[in-house]
Amino acid sequence: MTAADRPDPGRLPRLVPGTGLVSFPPVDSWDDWEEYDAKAWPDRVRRRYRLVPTTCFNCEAGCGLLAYVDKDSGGVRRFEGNPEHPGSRGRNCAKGPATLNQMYDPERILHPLRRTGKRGEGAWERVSWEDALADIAARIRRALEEDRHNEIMYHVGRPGEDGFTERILRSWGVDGHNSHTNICSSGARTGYAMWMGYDRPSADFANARFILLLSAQLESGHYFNPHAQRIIEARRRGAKIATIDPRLSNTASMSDFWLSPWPGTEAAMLLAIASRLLEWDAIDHDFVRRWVNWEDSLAARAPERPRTYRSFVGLLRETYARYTIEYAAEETGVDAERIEAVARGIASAGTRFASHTWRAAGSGNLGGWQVARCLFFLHVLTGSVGTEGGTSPSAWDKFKPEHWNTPPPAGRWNELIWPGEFPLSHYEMSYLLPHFLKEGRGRLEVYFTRVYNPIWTNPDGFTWIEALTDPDRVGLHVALTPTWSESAWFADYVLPMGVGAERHDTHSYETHAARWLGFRQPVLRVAGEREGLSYRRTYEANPGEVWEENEFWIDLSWRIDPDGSLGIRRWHRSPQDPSRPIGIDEYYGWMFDNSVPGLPEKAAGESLTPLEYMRRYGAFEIDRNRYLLHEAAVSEDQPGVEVDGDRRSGFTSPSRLLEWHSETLEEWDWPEVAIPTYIESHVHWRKLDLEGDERILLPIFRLPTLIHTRSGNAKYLYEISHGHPLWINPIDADQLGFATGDLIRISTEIGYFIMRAWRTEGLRPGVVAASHHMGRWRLDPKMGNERWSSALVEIGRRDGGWLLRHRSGIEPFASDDPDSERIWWRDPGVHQNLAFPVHPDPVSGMHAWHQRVRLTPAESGDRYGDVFVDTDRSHRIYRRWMDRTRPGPGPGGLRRPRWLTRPLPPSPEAYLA
Amino acid sequence: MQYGFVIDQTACIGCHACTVACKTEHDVPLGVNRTWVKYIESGTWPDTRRSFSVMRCNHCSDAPCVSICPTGALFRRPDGIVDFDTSLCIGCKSCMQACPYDALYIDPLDNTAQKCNYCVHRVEVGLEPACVVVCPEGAIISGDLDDPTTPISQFLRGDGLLQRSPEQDTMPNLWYLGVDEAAIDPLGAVDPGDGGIWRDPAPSFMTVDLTPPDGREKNGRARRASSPRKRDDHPPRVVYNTDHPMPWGWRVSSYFLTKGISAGIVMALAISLLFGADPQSAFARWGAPLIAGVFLALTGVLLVADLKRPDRFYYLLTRGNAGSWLVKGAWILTAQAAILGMWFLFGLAGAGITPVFIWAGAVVGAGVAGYTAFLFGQAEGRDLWQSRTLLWHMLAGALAVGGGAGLLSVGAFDLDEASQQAFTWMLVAGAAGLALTAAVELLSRHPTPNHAAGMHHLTRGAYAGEWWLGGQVLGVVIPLVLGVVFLMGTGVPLWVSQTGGMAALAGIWFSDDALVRAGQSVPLS
Repeated sequence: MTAADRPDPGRLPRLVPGTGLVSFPPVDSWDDWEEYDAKAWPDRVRRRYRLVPTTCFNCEAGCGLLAYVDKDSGGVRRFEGNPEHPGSRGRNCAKGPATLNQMYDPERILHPLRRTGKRGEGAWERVSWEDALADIAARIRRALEEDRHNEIMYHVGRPGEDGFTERILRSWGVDGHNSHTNICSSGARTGYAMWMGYDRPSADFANARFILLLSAQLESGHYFNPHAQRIIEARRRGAKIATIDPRLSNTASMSDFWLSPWPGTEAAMLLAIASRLLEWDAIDHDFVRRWVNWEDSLAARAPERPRTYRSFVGLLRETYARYTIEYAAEETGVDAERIEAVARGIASAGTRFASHTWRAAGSGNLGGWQVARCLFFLHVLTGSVGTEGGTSPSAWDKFKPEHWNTPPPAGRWNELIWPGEFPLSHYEMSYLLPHFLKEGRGRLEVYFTRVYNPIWTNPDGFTWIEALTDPDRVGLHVALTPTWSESAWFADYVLPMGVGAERHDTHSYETHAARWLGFRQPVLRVAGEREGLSYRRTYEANPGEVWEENEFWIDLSWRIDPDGSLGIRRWHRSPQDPSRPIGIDEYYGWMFDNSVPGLPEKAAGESLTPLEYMRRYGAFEIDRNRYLLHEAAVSEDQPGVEVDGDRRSGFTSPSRLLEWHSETLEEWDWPEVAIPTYIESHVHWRKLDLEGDERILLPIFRLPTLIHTRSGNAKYLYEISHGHPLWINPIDADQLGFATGDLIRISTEIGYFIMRAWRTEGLRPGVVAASHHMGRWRLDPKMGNERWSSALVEIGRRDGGWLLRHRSGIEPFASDDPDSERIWWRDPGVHQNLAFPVHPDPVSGMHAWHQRVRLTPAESGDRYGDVFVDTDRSHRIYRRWMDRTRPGPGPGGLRRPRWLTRPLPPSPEAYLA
Repeated sequence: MQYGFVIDQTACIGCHACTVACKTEHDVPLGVNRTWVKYIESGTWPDTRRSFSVMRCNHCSDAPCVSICPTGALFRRPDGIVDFDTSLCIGCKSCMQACPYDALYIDPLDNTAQKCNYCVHRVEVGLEPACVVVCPEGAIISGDLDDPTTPISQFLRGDGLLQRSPEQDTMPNLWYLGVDEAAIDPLGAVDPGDGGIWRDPAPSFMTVDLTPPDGREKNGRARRASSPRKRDDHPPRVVYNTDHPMPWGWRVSSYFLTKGISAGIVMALAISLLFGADPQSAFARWGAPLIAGVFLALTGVLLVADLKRPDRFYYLLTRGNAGSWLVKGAWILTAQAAILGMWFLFGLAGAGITPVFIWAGAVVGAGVAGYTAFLFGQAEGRDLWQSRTLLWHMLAGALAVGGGAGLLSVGAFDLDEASQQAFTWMLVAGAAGLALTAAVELLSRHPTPNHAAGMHHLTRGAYAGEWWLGGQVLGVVIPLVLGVVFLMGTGVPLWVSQTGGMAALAGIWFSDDALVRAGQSVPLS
């Protein structure tokens, strides 16, 4: 008799009759959901769960998750999607369910740690949260008292929240917000901002007829899962997809057209398409006439011409006439027919043309910001801006709630973050920080890295190590992180912070033509509180003493100003009891009560408070189908622009129109790139010795299964993807004599690294590529990084430089998780970023990631994974790129145009140099 | 009522969410998978394509894993889901041989066979399987195929549906929509075994020390430059897949030999009676059953040792699935053990009924030798083992090793001329039979690509050396020649024939080992 035949005492009821199946238990059963245990099956062992929604914290898409909290064990059994989430709609990529691995990772840091030896030596002691807060607070207080505000810096990798930390920094009065944007998306942001003020696109993929992608939006785009759902939805309805990417991504492979150009020539292709649209007159003239700053453009570019719209169109045609399809084919190396076909697709889609670019070409190349500018040009010409099936400004589809009791902006300007050389940068010149410190531009008293791994992620990591190990440059380094990282190893405090299911945040992203607000919450705390338990702080409910930043920042602020004399404490007092800091429920309760349109009414309809509603559903949709908002009529006292005699909302550019000619660029000394144009990349193919061993390296592609350096703690993800070959087209491999598996020395301007070759047809000849996740390392056999994913290495000086060498690859280890002894993969990959010098684009400030490299066989004594770097050379390269900048101040003595956004804008006076 | 899957490969983006959702749902250990995504790359730049296919149990209506499972641990439910009960599994791995889809694995913690069970613990409460819920593209469609109102039935009425290995006639209940055929054909793309796009390559590239003098030679510059790749000769290649190690190895190859000896020596004795050997010799009374018994016991030891759950070996008899040839084989082995036991006891006691045992033992011995052909016939995933010649190969092998073992017993039991003649004749006949079956196999058309690939590996590929030198030269040619010399010549010493016998014993091990491995070396996914 099998278990299936055994009599059983009353089976669980089916959610639907017959053989029907549904995706999720209904919301009204979430507090007490019963199902069978998967492991015990076919014995029908019942398990009772409480289902608590929260938000994934792996990539930036912020997809909904639903935690199955086991009522008996109190732990999380699994994560599924949250069907109530408007962006992700109950579905996830591989990284969503893998949150479980991250939560129960035996390698995770469970308690606050303080360094005992020298920085980077690896001696740690456990400390209490109280002691850590007291020490850090005292340091900050002293700096503020001594007017050393610019020595306080918060450097964030993945924010995952919107506005909370900025509010904290405002309350301290510091201009100390640093981000990762300049190694990520500054290029694209600048290109979009120069058109419309808004610095990101919101593509309405689901309703598009033609989709043009410049990144791998189906596997790793900025809003991977929400976008991928909607792109494929459009494809199922007959939309065509084109992808421009030198490398065959999964996205490119799913596309109707794969265009594999020379890296850095993308703008030339886009302008050729624009030129074709102009030639065919596939232009939405009504839109262009109403919404492009053609009068100003004519005045600036062709003052001799009549100020008529016709004359402007003529100017456009002439300006781009030289960008023929034949020229583009020659310049980009893509077949003319293929470019022509894409142009035809765009022309026939009209206003239902959607596109997106984020990193990719915009982040790889000198002048990459023009790629986004040229891409958006196509929308401007076809009138597919803000339309159904078109592409809108990001802010239309993103909702920012107000935060409680927000302090005024600080009146300071921090030159370590916003240096005068980059008045137009989007945003903070984060990766240049160690060079600025090396030059003596300043020092840091307290440096917070938060879900940020600068040593590993940034270019030129050895220069970061030099800065972070020098106590004169960095007084105290506090790493706020859910996991060990290369950078945390060089910190003074390592403070464990929660993964997606262990913290509070709000967030909203432009995933589609709608606005929604997501609420991340610590699921064990929420489940415990529903069971009647009470917690003083979230770390009491989380594993170990893993805390959440919200409470950390409030408690830290409280301690910085113990008597209220600095004027900081008043921003953090509980409204109900001013003698204690504000609690999380009070904070978000205020936000949801007061600043989310429609939420109080919706909650009341279910007899819930707004906070209870958000705790139950995890997300709220504010409105949808947001199109043509630039056409909204506005009154005289609201920002707007007169169009055909009516005052309209317009865009957030200085003219509130779409700016073909950017006066800002002209005024700030960049007249030659003030219109959409093609800037030759620092890795342009004509500059290369292609007959010899020089090639272009693309080091920044993501895999669908990993997220930067934050997924090495997910065993199931690393099991799928861990190998790190250098992709090389067989044509190049044959020319240079490389078989798959051969070790190659890849030489950059400042050093070299050793990788193994993988011959593939999935890449343009002349280009080699390696994904950017692998190459993780640790210096201690047992700690300092995830043993699922890191090599044990040694770092030392050799031949006037630094050498990182693997001592061993990934190996099984003993832990509470029996899987750790079954690790079967060995390749930890190669830390290529170490060998990249900084390449700041002089306009956007974006680090131009692509590298000119020489490929030679590994030499005697070379070992797999070796990375050698001369940091003196890297500083020289830094200076060479700094020479390209055109420093401010600009018109009006400003450090930066006021209309250009900043994550933490200071007061208007601070803009004056 | 029949649950099934449609996997819409026109929508699948190869993101592996299904893999991870499945692993967290079922707590699947590292190294094994209930579902995974395979990638292949085809074409040349700039017309390259990467195609995906989601792999898993096909929940066959005629599930070979259920047929071969000796204990009913695998079973088909009334709703069509092929489920399993780990408490019944003995870890024989035969299901892994029977499944043509690589769907099963041995759980490293539990040491039992497991696979996708359609999340039946969820389905019973009305929830879709975990992979269906997680998929960003809704590319995995579940539901009742027999209900015309379900979305999955709508899909099935459309075009562009393909199934994996339809030639296996398993009636799978999983369809692929718009899949690249090469991505679901295990032989449709070559697997270079280099780890591909983002997995570990097998070799130890990380520890390669390039210290001179051989450093230059290791990086292939000279080696490759002389043989430029032909760009037009570029078949699809696997760039991502999961590993499926061979379930059966030397224990199974050795068990072929031990049971061949056990069966063969009894058959040899029986035939020697026809040549006039003394039916009341010590050999006939207790020697032969002793030798056969020892090798039968060894057979049992090997079989139990190969189980991943040897503690449950007796389930074969106590919970046997009568349809499984593993169980029938166990009955035959048990029956033979009983015959040999009684024969030995009666023989020692000097009773006069030995010939009855001899002939009964010979008949059941043929079963001992031959049943494996039927067991291998149930291994639907291994087409090489489905060969019609396999039964004759087994019987011929038993004759040869029986003759060989008999010849090696001559000294110990002082056997007469008739026995020597009979054993040598058996050796020669067995070897000839082996030669004949090999020839038929080599010359016939292979019914499936999997079979052809197995034959290629056996006779021209990785196992060709073992099969030709070990199996054919050592196992067939030498016994044949030496046996014929012994029979035809006059005064040829016995050691000539005995040498042939020894060669047969060794050679047949090689031959069968090559067969066992070559059959499993053809990829199923």
